[in-house]
Amino acid sequence: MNHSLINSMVSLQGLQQKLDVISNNIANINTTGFKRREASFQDILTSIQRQPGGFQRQGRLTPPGLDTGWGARISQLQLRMDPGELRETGNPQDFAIDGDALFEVAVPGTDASGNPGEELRWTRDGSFQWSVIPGNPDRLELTTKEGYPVRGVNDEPITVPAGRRIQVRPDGTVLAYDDSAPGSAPEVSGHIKLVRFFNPQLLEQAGSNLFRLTGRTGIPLNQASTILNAGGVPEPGQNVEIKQGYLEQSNVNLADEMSDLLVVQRAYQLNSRAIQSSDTMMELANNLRG
Amino acid sequence: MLRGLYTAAAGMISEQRRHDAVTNNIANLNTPGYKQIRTPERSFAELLISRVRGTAEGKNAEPIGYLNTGVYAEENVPVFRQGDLQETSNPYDFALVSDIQVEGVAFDATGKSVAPTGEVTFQPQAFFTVVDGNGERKYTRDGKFTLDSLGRMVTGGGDLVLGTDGQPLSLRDPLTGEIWNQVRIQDDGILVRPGGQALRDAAGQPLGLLITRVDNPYKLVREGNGLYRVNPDDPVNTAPVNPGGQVQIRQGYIERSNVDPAQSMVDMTAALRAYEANQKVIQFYDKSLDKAVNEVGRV
Repeated sequence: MNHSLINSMVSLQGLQQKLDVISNNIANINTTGFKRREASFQDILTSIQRQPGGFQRQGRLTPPGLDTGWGARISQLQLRMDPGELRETGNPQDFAIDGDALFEVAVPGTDASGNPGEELRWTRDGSFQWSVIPGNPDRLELTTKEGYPVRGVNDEPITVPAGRRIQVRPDGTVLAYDDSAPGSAPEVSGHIKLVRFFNPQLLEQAGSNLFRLTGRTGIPLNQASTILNAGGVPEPGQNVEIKQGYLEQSNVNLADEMSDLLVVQRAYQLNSRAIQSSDTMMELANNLRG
Repeated sequence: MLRGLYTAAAGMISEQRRHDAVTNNIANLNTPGYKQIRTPERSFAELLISRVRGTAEGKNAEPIGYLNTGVYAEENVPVFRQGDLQETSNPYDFALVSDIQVEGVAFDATGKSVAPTGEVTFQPQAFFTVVDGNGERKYTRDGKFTLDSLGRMVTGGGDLVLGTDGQPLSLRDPLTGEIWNQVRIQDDGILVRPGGQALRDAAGQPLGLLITRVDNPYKLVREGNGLYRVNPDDPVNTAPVNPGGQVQIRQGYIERSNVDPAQSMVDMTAALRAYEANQKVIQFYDKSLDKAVNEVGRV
């Protein structure tokens, strides 16, 4: 069969996927806390056509058999967790993590036995808000823009008394100041949980700027990650802090993505040329008896 | 029959193979660690052509001369030229830069040296060492690694990367289960944790990536997925090599494919046109046969 055609066709598929990844990265260049993905290629399994002993003649360099490749495919899609730039917003409801950690968010879902419950998600997008708790007008709850509660180190949502000025310390401690009584001690309303995943490749994008633990590997959560501030404050040497009034920008670098885009487009062109060329060869073979 | 008909057909088949090799190179333009292949063509063995009827003196086989009756492309030879390095700043990307010299031998640009006696020596190449699911050792130049769920370093195809102790390299702390995800590699190939402590194997020796030097890389069997293995019927010398000097490991870089797109385009066109020329020759033979069959002897 026409190897050339298969080679190029298979590679066009891979290049198309890479284009999709690049365009997704570029589309999210302004998405808070977005982490870019990176696709890389590998050549496809080589098949070896057997050759009789007579082919092993003097001057031959390679072992017997004609080895032929079958193009290239995407071998891995890596999530790149490099930090994005922190931008000051001045909004006290915006939080950014400086260091390798994620916020934990509870979303409605099903638990292990299939009953309605909560599922865990993680995010670097700290554009939170204080939401009203139904049936409890006295307290407000820290949630994401979508209204999913942000969890504290005690695995409960973080709630503060309504009408207070909220300050979050770098270690995640939430303080509620009562400005109507100057000088009074603030209420300690909890600690925002910071989770570090040992291997970010175990995370997958779950939409709405959230990550979830991929279920494929079956590795339990407590072996994949650690809580940095389980006791309320991060252990020394963890190099992580929460910055209030900042947001983390996407870690997509437009210059890198554009040059990647050019490389992929040119490779795409070259491969389609190869398809044309192998088509011409087939035409020539067809017209042997013109 | 006309001998040239089969010669031209052999030409078409070999040009097809050359074209296949070039398209495969083009397909792997962006494959890290890919080594371009080329397809040398050789002529069929020479035949001695003799006149059928003898000369007047009664000899019955007057030689006319030698004739080749075709061409074939029997092998795809990888070109082990160093690929360009590209910075990715990914801590699990590694690139090998290898320029291994052998004492008393001067290699040319193609990595080959011909002694006055005619003996050919090929330049040894360095490879990362990995082990597949069956425990078989494979060699690769594609240093785009990642961590699996157990914290072991794996290739994109899932093969385990070996450490200098010959065991799969694991970045998981055996005591706490924590994964050291910020390892750095030193110039001497030793992996160090943030804070400067070297990773150590079971015997307490510092750990690094196992780099293997292969003496005649052409004898390796190309497997796809960027892997090469030793041919069990004709094993080639392999030995571990310490990074530094002639072999260097760069972290945060990948070695790009060494395929040259411009050269590939030219090769592809050349193969196509040579194919076309052979096709024309077949058509001319066809016309000659047409004349012989249908016109000679027509009254």
